Amino acid sequence: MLAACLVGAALAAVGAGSVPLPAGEVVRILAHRLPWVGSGVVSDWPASHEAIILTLRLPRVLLACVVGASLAVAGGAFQGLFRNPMADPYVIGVSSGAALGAAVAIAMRPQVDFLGMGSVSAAAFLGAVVTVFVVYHIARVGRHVPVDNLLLSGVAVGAFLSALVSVVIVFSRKQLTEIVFWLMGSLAGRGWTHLSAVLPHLVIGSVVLVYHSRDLNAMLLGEEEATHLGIPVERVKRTILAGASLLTAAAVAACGIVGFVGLIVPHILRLIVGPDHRVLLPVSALGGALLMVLSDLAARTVVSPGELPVGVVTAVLGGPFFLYLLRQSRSGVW
Amino acid sequence: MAARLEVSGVDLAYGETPVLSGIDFKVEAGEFVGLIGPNACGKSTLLKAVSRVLRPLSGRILLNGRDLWRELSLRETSRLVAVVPQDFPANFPFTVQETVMMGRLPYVSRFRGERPEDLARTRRAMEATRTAHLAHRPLAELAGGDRQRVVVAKALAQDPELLLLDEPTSHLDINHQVEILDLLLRLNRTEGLTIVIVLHDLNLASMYCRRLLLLAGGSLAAEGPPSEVLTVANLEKVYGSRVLVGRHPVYGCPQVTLLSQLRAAGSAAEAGTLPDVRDEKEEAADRPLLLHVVGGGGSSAGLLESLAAAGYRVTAGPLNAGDSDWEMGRALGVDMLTVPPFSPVDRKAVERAAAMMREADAVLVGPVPYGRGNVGVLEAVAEAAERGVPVGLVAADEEAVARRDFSGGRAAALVRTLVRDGAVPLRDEGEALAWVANLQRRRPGAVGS
Repeated sequence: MLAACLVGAALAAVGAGSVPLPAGEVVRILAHRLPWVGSGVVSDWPASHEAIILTLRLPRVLLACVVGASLAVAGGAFQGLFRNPMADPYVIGVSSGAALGAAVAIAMRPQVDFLGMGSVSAAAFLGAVVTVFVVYHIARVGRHVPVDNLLLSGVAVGAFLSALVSVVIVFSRKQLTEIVFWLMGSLAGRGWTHLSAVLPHLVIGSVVLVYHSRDLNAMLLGEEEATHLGIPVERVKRTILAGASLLTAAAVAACGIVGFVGLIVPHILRLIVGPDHRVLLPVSALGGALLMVLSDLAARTVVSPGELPVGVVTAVLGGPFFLYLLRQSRSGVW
Repeated sequence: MAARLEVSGVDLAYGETPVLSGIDFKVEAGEFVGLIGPNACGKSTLLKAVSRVLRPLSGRILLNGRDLWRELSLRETSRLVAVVPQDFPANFPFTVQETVMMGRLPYVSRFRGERPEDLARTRRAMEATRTAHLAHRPLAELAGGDRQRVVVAKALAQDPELLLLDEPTSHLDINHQVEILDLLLRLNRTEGLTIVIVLHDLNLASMYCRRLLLLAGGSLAAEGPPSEVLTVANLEKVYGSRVLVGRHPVYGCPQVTLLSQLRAAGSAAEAGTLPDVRDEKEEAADRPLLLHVVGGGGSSAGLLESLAAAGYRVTAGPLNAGDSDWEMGRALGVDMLTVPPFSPVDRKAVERAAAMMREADAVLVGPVPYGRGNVGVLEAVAEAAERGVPVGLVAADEEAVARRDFSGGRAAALVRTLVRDGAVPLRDEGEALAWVANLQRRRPGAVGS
């Protein structure tokens, strides 16, 4: 059902915009490009429509799917790993690291290309990955990495890096708007190159996390209990941390810090499908993609021809819906 | 389906802090063994080493002859050893059945998920623990006793050969404590499961465990059946508190009764200063009085306990073996004149009682019910009184004596005679203690007299 919603929403999103296109035409244009089916579809639409869809809207909608899915899966995994409902993809400082990287790149404008995504994305990705390594090693005690240490050092490092971001902003007044908009997250102007850069990370990260979903279930019982059930806790922890961080870093590099998706989508779906990660993580991917597509649709149509940052929309759409569900369920989120 | 556990030369530490050293013991297949000892003595730590959570610094832990930490993988271990932890997460979001199914993780392939036999094993584990009716309830909603049975079910679903439990009854009220331990005993007997359980409650440990390991000061202080481990000497040494060890009235296993430091001190203070009974090198004149107590039928157990706690030397009798006064006397280590259960006190016993009373500094007669069988003992008391031994009679007024006189008035007459000849009537136990304390102070040669 969720998948059907997602396909519907994606079609609507591809159709909607400053040049509205009817859904039937969207379907036929897309079908036309598919192998085998394509030859049976007669092209009776203006070439400009095909260009709008294929070069502008389709990659953007697909990127929204990929980013939403990545954030939601990463959020679900972090919530399980940390046994903490407040956890989200940014909880161990990934976002702050990415923000610092991006802010520095925007302010200094070095001309570096990273997987075709440009210097800002490259710097954001680098910032995120370095931050995770630093946080992990700060939290480590011998061979163990207590999750509480990880959370606390993540928060502390995050606060430190956020302060540095503010410093960068203060010293680069000219790029102020650009930095702030990047921090709020946006899909504006992203195309096929971004999509092809993020997609492999989504695939690798998601496979790693889904592969470990039953270990995540056992970790909810506590680390000692998981050990009693034969799970090598420290190794699993490292793997999950790496997988979820990879997802988050790629998503953030592509479109900035989109908040809330990774926090509330797993919560909403946990209320519906239960806490079993073997179901929760794949479903969260669909849910995250759906929320992101709808939010981006709203972001670029509500104040058209202007555009809202998509992170603002995810919060505005997702927040109240989540609160509604929370009030409905008597047992609470966990 | 039972594992043999062999621990030899194991040292354990948390970081730099050593917890246990040189631990050696064996648990045979199918045994039910209790780990006891004061707080922070390392009971839970020892379980952590056997459940692969804390690696020993040295020594070996063998499970069915194979080295747990070197020869078995974590997954293999989880198929042999299951653990019921002290605290199971209460805010856990799964249902009962999902929780129990977790116990199948050691057997389930990553890609296939649970097979029908895993579900069947889960059902059996829930039936064995009487939690099947709760299958679809969220674990978080259950009360303590039910939740603990679910945790045991989860452990059973692991199909273990060795079950480790860390104080599984510590948060439960008494009926649930017995319920959980009965369940474990049944599993131990029917499935031959080897059980090693950490218990705080010494009396439960004594009732259920065939063998006890007493840990203290980082090593094994005693080991053996409850009757050998739960002794006054062991417990006072290890726990540093004063205890009495009696017998369970039904099962005959040792039962530990605690003595309050405060209450003992309190009654001594009330009754006057008393020399410390443990000081064996005191002057003869300061020695505590030797008191003989006449009791029976549970009338004098409290009196015996108070006198012993206050530090007096006490003898008692005649008492029928198995009588609750007799049990108390035995627990206190009182020198007693014992007669067979339910038999009348014959002439010979009365003579021997009289001999004991002659030795005593005073005789205290409890509020004993008198029948034809035991009224003769009052004659022995009269004889002692004649020889000048002070006699105290607890609850000796006409009315009180009449109520417990089943000897056709003979007892009442004897008590009247005793009082007339100088025996001291005492209202209750408190007054008896005060009277004895007064005797102690006025003892010839006592300091200050």
